[in-house]
Parts: sequence; C-alpha cells; structure tokens
Amino acid sequence: MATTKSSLGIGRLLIAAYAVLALAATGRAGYELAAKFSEAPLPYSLSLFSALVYIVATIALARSTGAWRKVAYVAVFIELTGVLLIGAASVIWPEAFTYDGKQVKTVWSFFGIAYGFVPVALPVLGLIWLGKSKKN
Amino acid sequence: MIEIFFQIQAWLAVAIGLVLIGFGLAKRKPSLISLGAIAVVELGLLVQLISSIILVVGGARAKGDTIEFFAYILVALIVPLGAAFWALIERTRWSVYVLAVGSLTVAIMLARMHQIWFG
Repeated sequence: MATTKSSLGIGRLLIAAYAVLALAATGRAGYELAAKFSEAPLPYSLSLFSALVYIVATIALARSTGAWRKVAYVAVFIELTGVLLIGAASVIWPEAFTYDGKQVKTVWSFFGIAYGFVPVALPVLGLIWLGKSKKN
Repeated sequence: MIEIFFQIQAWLAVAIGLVLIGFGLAKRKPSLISLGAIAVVELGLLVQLISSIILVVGGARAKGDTIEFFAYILVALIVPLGAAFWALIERTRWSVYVLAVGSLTVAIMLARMHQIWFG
C-alpha cells in the first residue's frame, strides 16, 4: 500500500466511496436475505452478488499493488458490466424483476438510480484511476 | 424515530459534511475539530438508536419494516466510526474528505430511515 503518490491522494476518496457502497449493498442484501429472500430470489441474489463485488473491489483498490491490482481491475470490470446489464434489463425487460405485480429493485436497477447513479459512476472512475496510477 | 430530532440531526449531518468539504478545500489535516464533528454525528445516531428502542418498547412501530429501520441505524453507526478510524490512521487532507463523505452518507441514510419510519 501507498507505493505511489496517487494512492495517497484523490484515490483515497474513491476507496471511501467504494467502502460506503459496499456497506450499503451488504446491509441491503443482508436484510433482504434474512427477512424476505423467498419473495424475490433473483433481485435479492443480485443484491448479494453486487455486495460481494463491492467488498472485493474496495479491498483490492485499497491494496492496489501486484496481484491486488489485477483483482481490482476484474472486480471493477464485473461491476461495470453488472450495472450496465442489470440497469438495461430493468428498463427493457421489467417483467423479469416483477413479483406479485410489483417491480423489485436491486442495487443496479435503473443504473443505480436509488443510489444517485453512484453505482454507474464508480466503476468508470475506478478504471480511470487504475489506468492513471499505473503510470506513476 | 422522533420527527423534530430527525430534522435537527439530518441537517446537522449535512452541515457538518459541507463544513468538512470546506476544511478539505482549505487543505486542513484531520484535527480535533473535524474528528469532533464526526463524533457529533455518531452521538446523534446513538441518541436516535436509544430513543427509537424506547419508542418500540413502548409499542410504536415503523410504517415500513421496523427491522429494516434498525438495520439502517446499525449500519449507519459504522460509517462515522470507519471514517474516524481512517482519519486517525492517515492524517492527510484526503481523510478530511473521507470524514465529509461519512457525514453526508449518514444524512442520506437518515432520510431513508425517515421514509421507513413515517412511510
């Protein structure tokens, strides 16, 4: 950790934002899993999956050296793919997320609108930061 | 959850978040003032937790899911602690922004808790 100057700089904010999202998604998934998983297994599984990806991404970005760097790339890329696919699916194919006539949301539904679109912004910023910090 | 107390606490968390961003822009490092500010946010959450437990013991329930409400308080309580822990380890101006993010996150979580409690 802290081998490059940038890892001490603005990247810290990115990691903090990831930590907040990891916490938010984990809290949400934990509650959904414990209280009502059987009501809507697909959206709630996706919440759990996104929580795990955010946790891995947070840790990998915080380390961000050697193998952790690769893990960070993979996690951030999975995250970007997830938010784009699920975001698009929630718009194009809402029936897939409809249970009892009501659309059940995931962290990634509508590109993360419930989280101020932070879920779609973070992976892009994450990739930019990973790309830039490599040059140092 | 008590309405007036929610109002004070939520706006205080927003104000503290903005002041901390100001501190960050002024390139200040974490100090007793900024750590004290995040401690105020944490203290507010503790009061919220205790007052809500008293309300629920007295028979009150959230309009939404009471368990979800408490899950939010418990997760929110971790945020200022984590931010302060970070600021203590890394005493750079970036940690002041981390404190700001923590305070604003608590404000957002309080708004969601208000939704769950009052419907």
